[in-house]
Amino acid sequence: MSQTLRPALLAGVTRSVLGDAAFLFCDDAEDAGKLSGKLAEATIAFDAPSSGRLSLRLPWPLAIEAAANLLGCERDDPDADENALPAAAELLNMISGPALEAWFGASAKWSLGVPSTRAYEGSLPTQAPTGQLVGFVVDGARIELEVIETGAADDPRTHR
Amino acid sequence: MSYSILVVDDSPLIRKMMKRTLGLSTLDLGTVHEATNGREALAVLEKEWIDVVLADIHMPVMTGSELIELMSRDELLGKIPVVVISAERSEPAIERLKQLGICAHLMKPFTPEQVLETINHVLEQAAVRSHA
Repeated sequence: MSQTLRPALLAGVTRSVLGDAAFLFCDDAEDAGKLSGKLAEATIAFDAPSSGRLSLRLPWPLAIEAAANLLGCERDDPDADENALPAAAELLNMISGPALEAWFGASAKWSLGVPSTRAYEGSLPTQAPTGQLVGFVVDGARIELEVIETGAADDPRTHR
Repeated sequence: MSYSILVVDDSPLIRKMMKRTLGLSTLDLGTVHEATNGREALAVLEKEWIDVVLADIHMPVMTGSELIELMSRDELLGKIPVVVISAERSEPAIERLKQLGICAHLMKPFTPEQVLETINHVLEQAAVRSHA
C-alpha cells in the first residue's frame, strides 16, 4: 500500500479518466497559469486511512464539452449546458476511485462522499496552500485537480 | 419479453447516459425507470415490475448499500438482480456488497459495451435461476 500520493500518479489517473471517459485529452501545464472566467468546480470528500477531499476545476466551456461527450450529444445541445456541473462531478467521481485505490491500495477500507459542485466567475491561484495540485491543458484551457488531506492517518477499521 | 430496468443514481447525467446506452442496445427493452436515491428506488420497486436494478452506491438520502440491504431482506425484492455501477474500488467495500447479494459490480468509468454485456449476463443468470 502506498501512503504517499505522488503528483505523477494523480496526473496519470486524471489524464486517463478525462481522455477515456470524456475525450478530453490533456497536455501537461508547463506554466503556472491561472484559471479564469466562468469555472465549474466539483469537490468530493474521502474517508480512508487518511481523510480529505479532492477538487476538480475546469473552465465552463470544457465542462460543457465533457457533458456533451459523456452524453453523446452536440456541444450546443441544451442538455450539454444543463449537465456541465454534473459532468464535472462525475469526472471527479471517476478519478477518485482509481486515485484512492492507487494511494491507499485496493485492500484498504475507504469510502467516497457525494460530490458537490459550484459554478463561479473569477480566477483562482494555482498554488494551493495545503493541497497537492496537478494542472493540465486541454485545447489551450487549464484544468486543475487538487487533493487536500484534512485528517491524520488513523485506524481504517473505524471507517465504514 | 421486454425487460424493465431501474436506474438509481443521483446524477442526472449518469441516468441519461444509462438510458441512452440501453436505448442503443439490442436488448428487448421495456420501460427504463429512474430514481435519484435508494428511497425513491424502493418506491418504484413497490409499484413497478423491475427486471434489473442498476444502482450507484454514493447517493444522498439513502445510499445504494442501504437499498441493497433492504432489498435483500425482502422475499420478492431480494430476487431482483442488482448491478452496482460506482467508483467504489475498495475490496472490503465490494466484498460487503457481494455478501449482500449483488450480481455484478461495474466500475466507473465504464463503456456502453461493458454495461450491456453485464446486463445481458445478469439476465441470463436470472433466467437460469428461474428455471432451476
